[in-house]
Parts: sequence; C-alpha cells; structure tokens
Amino acid sequence: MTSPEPRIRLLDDALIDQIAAGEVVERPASVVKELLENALDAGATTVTVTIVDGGAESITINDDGHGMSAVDAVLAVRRHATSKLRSFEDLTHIRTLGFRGEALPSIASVSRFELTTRRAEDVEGVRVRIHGGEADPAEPIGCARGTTVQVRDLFYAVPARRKFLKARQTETSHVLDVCRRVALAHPALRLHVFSNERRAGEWLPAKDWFARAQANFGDETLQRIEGERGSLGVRAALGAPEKARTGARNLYLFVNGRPVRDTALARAVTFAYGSVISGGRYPAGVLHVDLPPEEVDVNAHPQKTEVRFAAGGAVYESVTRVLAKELGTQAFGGPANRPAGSFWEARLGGLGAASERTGSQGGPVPTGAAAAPGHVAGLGLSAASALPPAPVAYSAAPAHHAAWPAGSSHLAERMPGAQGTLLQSVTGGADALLQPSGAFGRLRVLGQVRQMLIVCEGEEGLVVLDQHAADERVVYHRMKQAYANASVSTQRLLFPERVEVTEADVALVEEAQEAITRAGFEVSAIGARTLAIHTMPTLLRRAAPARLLRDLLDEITRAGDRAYGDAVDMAIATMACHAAIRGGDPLSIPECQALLRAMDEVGEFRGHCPHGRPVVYDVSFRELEKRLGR
Amino acid sequence: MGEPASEAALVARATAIAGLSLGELAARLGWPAWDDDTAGGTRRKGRVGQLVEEALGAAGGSSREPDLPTLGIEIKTLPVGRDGVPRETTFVCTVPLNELASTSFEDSVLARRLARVLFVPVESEPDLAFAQRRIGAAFLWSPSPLQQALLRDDWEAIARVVAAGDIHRLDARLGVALQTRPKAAHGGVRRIVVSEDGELTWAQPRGFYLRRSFTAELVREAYAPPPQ
Repeated sequence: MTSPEPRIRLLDDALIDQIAAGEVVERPASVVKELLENALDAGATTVTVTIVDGGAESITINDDGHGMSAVDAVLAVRRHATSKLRSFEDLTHIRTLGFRGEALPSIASVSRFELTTRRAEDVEGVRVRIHGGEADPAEPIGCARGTTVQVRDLFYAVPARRKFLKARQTETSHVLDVCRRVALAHPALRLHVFSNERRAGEWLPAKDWFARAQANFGDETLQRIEGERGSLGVRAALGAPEKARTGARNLYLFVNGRPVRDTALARAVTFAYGSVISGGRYPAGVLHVDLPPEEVDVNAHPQKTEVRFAAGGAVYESVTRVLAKELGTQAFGGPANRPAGSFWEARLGGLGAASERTGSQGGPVPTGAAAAPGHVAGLGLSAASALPPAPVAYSAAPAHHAAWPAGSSHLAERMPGAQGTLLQSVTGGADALLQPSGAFGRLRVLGQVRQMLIVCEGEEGLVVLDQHAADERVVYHRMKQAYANASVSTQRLLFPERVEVTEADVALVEEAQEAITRAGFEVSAIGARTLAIHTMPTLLRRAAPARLLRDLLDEITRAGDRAYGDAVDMAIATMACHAAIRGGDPLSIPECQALLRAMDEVGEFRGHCPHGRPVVYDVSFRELEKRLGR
Repeated sequence: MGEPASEAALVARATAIAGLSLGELAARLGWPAWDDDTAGGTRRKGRVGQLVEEALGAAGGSSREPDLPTLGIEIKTLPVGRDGVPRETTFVCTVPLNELASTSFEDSVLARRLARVLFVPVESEPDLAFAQRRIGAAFLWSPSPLQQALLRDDWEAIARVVAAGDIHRLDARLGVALQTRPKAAHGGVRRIVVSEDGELTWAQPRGFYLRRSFTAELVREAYAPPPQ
C-alpha cells in the first residue's frame, strides 16, 4: 500500500526567487537601487546607469568598483549568497548598504540577466548569464575593471507583474529619484544616468554632503545644520518654511547613509519649524541621521527603505531639538523666537497641533469665556480680542458645533464647566437664518474687525464671518465649477514664472499636461529641472503661481493610480486656500458686500471652508438682550 | 533655423524661449557669454534684439522689410520693468528725410513694419545684469483702427514738418503715438536734406519710435485679466 503523496511540498529555488523578487523587485527603480547599492559596497567612485523604456526594456549599471573573481561572480547570483554578512552578530552592526544576498538572484529570476566583472588583479573577466532563473555556464570575457550588470526584459517571466509597470516617464522618474537619493548620500560619487540614449541626470563629485544637497535643489537656498545629542548625529540642509510643500516627497531622509522613508522622522523635521509651517507641509531638503548601527534595525523591510530605531521617540525628539535650536538661531527665526513653553508644550508635550494652527489661521472667535462680565461690554463685537486664549483642547471642531446646528448643548457636553457660559443662537441653528437664497447678500455689513472678521446685522441677530474662510469657500466653489465645465479663465503672465523642480516633476508635467492645462495652468519645461508657468487661473491670481503649481503637482503625485482629474479636484481646495483673502487684508464695505453676495452663489457646505473650518458664527438678538439683562 | 512657416509656429518658438534668461538663451544659441555689468549698453540693447530675432528665425535682411518677410511680421523686443511698464521707447525704422514728403502713410516703411508685430517683452531693471534678464511672454499685435489713425496722424504731422524743410523743428515732443529722435552711431553723423529755403543742408538722421505710453497700453491690453 502506497502512502498518499504529501500535500505540502518544498518549493523549488526558482519559485522561491520569484517570490522573493515580489518583495525586492517592485519596478525598474528597485533594480537600480539594489544594483547601485552593490556598486557602492564594491567601492565604486563612478557609476553609469543606462535605462531604456523606463527600465522595462533594459537597465545597465556599470561601476568601477573592485569587481569579483569568477567564483564569487557565480556565487553572487545564488540566493542568500553575500560577502557582507557572516553571522547574526554582523546583522546588528551592518555598515554596508546591502546584506541580504537576495537582490541579484531575485532580479535574475524575473529578467534576462547578465553580469560581467573583473578584478584589477585578474587578466580576464567573467560573464554570468541567467534567463528567467536558468543560468548558462559562466564564461571568460575581456572587460574593464569593475562590474557591469545588464537587466533586460524585466518581468518577462512574470507577465502579471509587467502589466503593473507605469508609463515610461513615470518609471524613469522613479529611477531618477532612486539615483538622486543615492547621490545625496554619497557626495563623492560620480553618477551618470542615461535614459533612451539621452542624459537624464548627472551628479558630479561634490566637496561634501551639503554641497551635494545644495546642488540638488537648484536655486532654493538651504540652511546648513549640524548638531549632536548623545550618540546621535544630525546633519541637515533644509529649505525656507515659505517654500514648504504639501507632502514630504522633497524631504530626503538618510539614516547612517541609507535612504529611508519614515513618516515620523519627516514629522520630526516639521515640528522643528514650529508653527511657521502649516499642517501637512514639509520643507524641502536633506536630513542625515547618524547613530551607532546597533541602535537601528535596517532589516525591517526587504527593500531596506524602512528602519526601526531601538529608541524611536528619543531619536525623533533629538532630531527636532537639534534642528529647532539651529533654525531658531539662524536665518529662519523659527521656534526659538517664540516663547519656549508654548512651542515645546504644543509640539512635544503631547498637545494637539491642530489647536495651534487654528489660532494662527484666524479661526472662529473663541467663546469659552465670553460671558465673563465686561468682556462683552458695548456691542460685544470687540469681545474676541479681549478674550483669553481658548484652552488648547478646545479646537476648531467644537467651535464649529457651537456656531452651527448642533448648538451649544453639544459643546457643553464636550466642555464640562462651560455650561451656561456660551452665547447661544436661538434661531434654531444657522441653517434657519442662512438657507434662504440671497441670505448673505441681505445682511447689512457693520464693518471689519481685526482685519479678519466681517460683522453683519441680520434680521434676527449678529452674523460674524471669517473673511478668509468665506473667500476660500467662494474661490473653491467657482474654481471647481469652472474646472468641471472646462472653462477655467486664465491670466497670462507677462514674465513666465520659473520654478525649479525635480526631473520627476518635469516628467509629471508632461504626463499630466491635459489635467494641468484644464486647471488653468500652461506650463512648459525650459530646462532639465526648470518649468515655466505661462498662465494661471484668474480666480487664483492672489496666490504665487509657483506655490499653486507645487500644490497641484504634489496632489497629482499623491493621487497615484487615481485619475489626474480627481487629483486636480483635491488640489483646488489647497489652491483656493492660498489664493483667498487672508486674515490681515483690509476690506472696504463694498468689498465685504461683494464677498457676501458671492457667498450666496455657493450651494452646499457654505458654512465651512473646504478644509472644514467654520465660516460663519451668529448670535441672536434675543440672546444678546438676555445677556445684557434687558 | 529658418523663418517659421506660420504665425502659430512663430508663437510656439516664442513660447519655448519665454522664461529663459538672456544668458541661457545666448548659451543655447552658442553666443559668447554676456558681460556681467549692467552699465552702459546701447550695444547690449542691440544684442538683445539680435539674440531674440535669431532664436525666432529672423534672417535679418533688408532694412525696408519686416524681420520675417514671408509672414510680414516685425519682431520687437520690449524692455519692461517689474511694474509691467515699458522702460524705453521702441525703435521702428529710420525717418526717410528725403522721401517722406513723396510717400503716403500706407506705403511707408513704418506702416509696413507695424502692420503685424511680435512684441517680445524682456525684463529690464537697472540693477539686473543683462544675462539674468528674463524673456517674457510674446504677443502678436496689429494696430486697431484707432491705433492706426493715431499712427497716421503722427506720421503725417511729421511728414509735413519734413516737407516744409523745418527739420530743426522735429523734436521728441511731436506726436502722440510716435516720436522722432536722432538715430545714428554717434552725434556727429549727418545726412544731406532739403532746407526750408530749398537748399541742400546737413541734418542729423532720425528714427521713428513708439512712445512708452503707446506700448504701455499695448502691454496692458495683451495681459489684461479676462472679465470675471
């Protein structure tokens, strides 16, 4: 009687390699990253990367490193064969970029792979060829010292993966991004990148890490920062806060020379800027964190782009403190120029950053202490300025509830001890007052307060509008409508605005040209990393064109696989914010009236700006009379 | 690079160089680098025009024909300050002192040159080195009936003065849209003209210029925001 065949089987090596390739080789850029790391670990000083069709057709990486013997070359393409690791102890002291011994066999298992290498002391080199995991016999060959790896037809053996590759420009931009990160980490490296026989990028040896970073960011002046806390070293080259962008893709992070993506580390950088950078925005620049290898685990992810710190909190706090100290004492006049208590309490003491932002953006009038005698003396319109600051936990959201339908009871539940101290609208919520068409236009404007609020008299009470939030809502509404109708009115610029960007952004502009044009921007590349903005949407003319374009590109980049149209739709909210009337802008009565009439055009959600902040606060006359004992 | 085949092709070329600095454009065309100083530069001003004309495909032929004779388009660089206002008058052509009286405005070199013009704004501030000055967004212009009438009135007023032999009365104050000013390599250059007594005499050669107020209006029209 024969025993049944076991259902569980060992996988063969080729299949194991292909599974590993799924983790290590995501796209051509992953191949370039792994091969560049190998070149650097081999002591290369000059590396040339040549890609065809975004790397999908061919990737060739040539280095002048120390090369390999014939035996090593054959071993190198076998799984978990590496010269960089001998024992588990070595794993905790990794100083090389690669160490897993997975990259070459993984790449070779999904492509037509060829490795040619020669050491200086050898009279001839060796060539190893693998097609879809099947190795040909190694053969001697004449070649220059160093190593050349050619990867053709990536994923030809795994068609399901190949169809997930993006457009050529997108893959090229990913490759360039990888090269940029490597170049930033290795200033002495000479790195050439060619795409479809055209020079796509070039990094010549720089005198140090800062020179490399400065060269990478073109005309954006970076601040050099160096400091230490204990065993942690921090080196940074950071851009000015006013040039901060949405998302952290222009903030390059390195831990022990290894490019990493770490949201918490990026956030630690923005914390150092305090409130001079609004939420969600990050400065452009480079951050190097150096710490003993045993305090960081680089084996957290097959692609080695994520790291785990033994004491993450301490690392992030140290980074923030080192940067804040230097930013404050130098050009930016950052956090150190503010009262230390408020900065550190808000940023590091665990209090919500949202409350700080709300305050700085001229949010709704805090009402928490409004009932205190004397604070609402007279008409009460200037009471806001006399009010003590709202408690930190009392952020924009509760204030919005106070102003709108849920009413004060909602707020009272959230704020024990605040019962009976809130001005309440007895109109049954703002909807009752504002829903009729033309309601805003019928309000009588009494004036502008603190160059931030528009105070009006309605039929049943006083109505206060945040001028920025109101205009933001109007601009957003108009812009969105115009975009939907493909009728965005454009303003031609006498002198096109130049914007220094990355090659990836230039490629992105080409790729998303239709959506960008439809949004009212005419943009062309006038250099490898320079864009010229020829037209901008008329509705957004109060904002700097470069900032608007960056907002748009950031949103399109973040959109990933979504349609560009959706990304533009989302970018309109950010752009509307930048183009709207600001708190601090003086407005005449006719301008206030025009804004109110424009508010009537806005349909749904006119009570809030596109970011959710309330636009309107109303107080009924009955409530005022009650407060004043009449 | 030859003359563009159409107005659209010309505009495309102009758009391609808009935003570049003069230094960058010079480097692209293989011209020698610009001097860094901003001082004294009538020759540099001429060089700006030549540079832009070469970039747009003008052959630089007869002085009586427009820069792009096939398209009938004249190319004019317009030095514009940060406030968006032209900083200088714009040279159109020399005043043909001995032919003016026998020519009609419609047949004049000036009218032919101004029939279709591609204005190319160039950033111009005293503190800005030539190499760093940016090229602006070019715009095509043809005179409107009102502008044509203004030009004709000025041209005819100037022609009357020349015909009467009162050349010494030709000064920069005459004209609303146009202006005449001495135009020569240096102040010593003279041409033979007919005086008011009918005798041959010497006079400074002069050029027709568009006034700053006139070109400022053109710039305003070209870049005016569309009505909301």
